[in-house]
Amino acid sequence: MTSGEQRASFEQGQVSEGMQGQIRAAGGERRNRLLGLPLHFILIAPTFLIVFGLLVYPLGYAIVLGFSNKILTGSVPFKWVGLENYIDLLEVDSEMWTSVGVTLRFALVGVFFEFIIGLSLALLLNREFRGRTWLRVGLLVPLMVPPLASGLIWRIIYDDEFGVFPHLIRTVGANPPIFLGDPDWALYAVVATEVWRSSPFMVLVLLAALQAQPVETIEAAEVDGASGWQVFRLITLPFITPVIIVALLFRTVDALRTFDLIFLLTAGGPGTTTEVISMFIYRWGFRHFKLGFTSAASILLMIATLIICIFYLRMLVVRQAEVQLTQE
Amino acid sequence: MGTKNLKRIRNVAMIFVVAAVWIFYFFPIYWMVSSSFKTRADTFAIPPKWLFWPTLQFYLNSFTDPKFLKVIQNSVIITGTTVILSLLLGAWAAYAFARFRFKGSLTLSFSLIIARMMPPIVFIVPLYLLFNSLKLRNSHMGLILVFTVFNLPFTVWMLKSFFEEVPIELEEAAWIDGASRLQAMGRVILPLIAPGLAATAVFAALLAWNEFLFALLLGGPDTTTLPVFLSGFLGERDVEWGDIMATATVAVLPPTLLVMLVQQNLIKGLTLGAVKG
Repeated sequence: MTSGEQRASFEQGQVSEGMQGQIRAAGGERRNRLLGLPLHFILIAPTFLIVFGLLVYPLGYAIVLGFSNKILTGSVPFKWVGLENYIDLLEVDSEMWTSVGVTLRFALVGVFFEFIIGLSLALLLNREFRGRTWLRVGLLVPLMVPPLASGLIWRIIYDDEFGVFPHLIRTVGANPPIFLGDPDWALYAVVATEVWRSSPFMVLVLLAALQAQPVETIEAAEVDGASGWQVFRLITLPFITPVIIVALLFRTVDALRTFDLIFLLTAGGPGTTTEVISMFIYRWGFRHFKLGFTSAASILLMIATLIICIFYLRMLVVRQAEVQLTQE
Repeated sequence: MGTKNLKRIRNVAMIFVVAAVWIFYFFPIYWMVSSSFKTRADTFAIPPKWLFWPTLQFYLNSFTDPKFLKVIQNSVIITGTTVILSLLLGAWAAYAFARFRFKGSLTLSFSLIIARMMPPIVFIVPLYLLFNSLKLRNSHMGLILVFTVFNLPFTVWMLKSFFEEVPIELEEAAWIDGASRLQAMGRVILPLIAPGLAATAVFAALLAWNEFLFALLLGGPDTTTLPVFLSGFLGERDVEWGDIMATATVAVLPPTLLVMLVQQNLIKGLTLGAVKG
């Protein structure tokens, strides 16, 4: 911003502040109150009332339950057990760690492929070619399929008797595994369906970032003789990095909360090879009815999610600080 | 001559890539829809049948089944009320966050984002017990409340980004004419951001329409929604894939059409207003 522009915007600020002064003089203070309370308070009260009642209070309840042996139905008398649930959960050979491993593999492999596919297709769609608009609109369709329905669709595609995918593999002469029943394959079969459904999210969000990029900077670099790769690495990539971080944040937390898809595709099986953390909590809460134990696990999941959010948000902040430094 | 050939090769390669993308993303959708028109024998045929006589049997089954019609009714009532409630409450809060700077406004608005990021399963046990003791389980009201609370972080942030795009001067002009803040909001600002409101409503509807975990565990026989109904098919002895795929097609169709209508604000909708599309 040049100093002339700065002065102009400063003067504009003066003008609008002056105007606000006039308005305030015309009885504006009363405008910001309702029923004797500050208006903004009244406006946010209903939202935070039900957020408190249905999110914060239950969370507090879960923390309390986590220290008890509460079960849903049955004859075991209620008692406080201190940290016992947490100790059971965090023990080296506890089932939770298996489930954490599954969740991490599901999230990392899935988000990795979604990102690779997302970025490549976004770059493709950022070019001019016939049918581009159609493809962009078409990508919305898998995104609109609820995870539950996508689980059902892929179950008939993977079916080892009449499924079309194993059939295609047989036609080329290979011997397909039982995708959803083989412990070595099941998790990756599930990941593939998640990549199918969610990679359009990456494509569309990254494409929006690419299209927001000013054409002039790219043209200037090309005039200066930069190669396509150089333009991408030195100009485009830094420009879209904040959006990449936001997209990765969304996809990662969504992968961590995955429940519907796995509930329908494999229900966590075979064995516990696809039991992500949400399925683990579901099983202990609503198959074994150990609500105290389940609450403790929920609290641990909440803490883990918070840590991941903070990690990404810090990346965003650090990134913005860097941008400011390079601009100065 | 050489560059011309190179260009041709690139064009052909492009066509293959685009075709591959279409097949990857569309084949499963095609398979869902076509399976809903296949007779039982055609579905279980080995090898899978590409050409077949379509049957409307499963759609006729569904739409003449009172149980299914009740499910659609539940889904529509719950989704509709959730959308109205979360838009109403969300618009008030969003306006407050967009136009007032007050103590704790940042903390409060960011706490909503954190709530959006939390896996819903974290809340399921305490909500289950709470709903049991308040007799809210198996009630429309209960599901509407839960869906609304999980929709609010999204609606508040989305609408906040739309409110911030409207210059304050427009409101000030209305104030000078004697309108109160809420009147100015209702008569000046909301009509201006109507496309944004529509997009927010569509995405809120999508969330409620597709929600499964809470509908399954906090709902009951009186509140069965489409996703819960769909999952119920698998428990039956003879899985009837035609019925499942017809129901799935019915579940997928309305949200897809609605989202096509609000494409302008699609990217905002996907990212809580964090990325502009």
